[in-house]
Amino acid sequence: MIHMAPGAADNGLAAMMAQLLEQNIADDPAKKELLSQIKGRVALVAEDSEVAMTLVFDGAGLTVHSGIVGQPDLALRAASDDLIRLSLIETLDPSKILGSAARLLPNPLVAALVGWLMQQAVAKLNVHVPNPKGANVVAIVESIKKGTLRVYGLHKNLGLMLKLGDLFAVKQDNP
Amino acid sequence: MAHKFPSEEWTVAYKDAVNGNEKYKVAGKDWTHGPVAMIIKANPAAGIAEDTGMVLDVDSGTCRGTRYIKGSEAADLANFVIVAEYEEWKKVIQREIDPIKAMMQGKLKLTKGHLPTIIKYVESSRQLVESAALVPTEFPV
Repeated sequence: MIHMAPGAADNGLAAMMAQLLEQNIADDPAKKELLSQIKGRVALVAEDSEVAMTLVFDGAGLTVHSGIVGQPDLALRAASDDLIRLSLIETLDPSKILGSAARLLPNPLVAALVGWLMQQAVAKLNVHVPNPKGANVVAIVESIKKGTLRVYGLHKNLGLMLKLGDLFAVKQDNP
Repeated sequence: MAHKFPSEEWTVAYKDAVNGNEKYKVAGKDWTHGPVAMIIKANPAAGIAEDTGMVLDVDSGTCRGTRYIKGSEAADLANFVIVAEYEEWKKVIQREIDPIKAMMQGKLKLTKGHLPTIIKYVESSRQLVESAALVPTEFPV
């Protein structure tokens, strides 16, 4: 499912991302299913390391390229530490958040029904959202504010970004 | 007294440096994933006739022991193996390059081990490598 384009194996960032994804899929087979749902082109640039790569998702698998190849749908430019931190962001299950929010409704029966409907709708998206209280999320937000982490194309590709986050997220109870 | 890099004496001093690094004690306190090996690729000009490894038996924020091994055996004794050329290790030890940047540039390579675990413990990994900078070191070239 993961292919290295010519030259990608010699690019440290590209080799790391491919290795990370392969091992994440081995740890959590649900990520294989997620990978098969993604279509899009994502460029990553580690500015302080002066290295760039492109991930091309075609709905069946992923091809990893060295450098920026084609016109990316999403592009992230960041310091090496922040690119690593993106794999460590703390997440929340959005269906649980919405379920909890629905409980604020005054009528318990309506609250239960609305909560259930919202959970069903969001569960189909199969993504998690960043936990705003997580230490790594806070650090990333700071980097965005400072302009040292920049994401291009996010407004049109929020779903792609969230799926990418889930795909590369490191399981917190890894062996 | 400076120790020649790489050598048995340097490796022993490295263990002391790791155990003296307070940041490593904190960052590595949950590390229970086994030994880590650092392999220096052969470099005859630096007096390294064959690949040479230092195996660090790290656990719960301390280094319990080290081994200095010539040849490829070091990789068999560790769960995680990081390989680089002599010049790159020299730059890391001299703090001329950050180990994470060096990995992204392909200068340091994780050739064995679970990368998600290394990423989860990225600060521990960084402090382990940076402890090397605390060792008084003499480089042959």
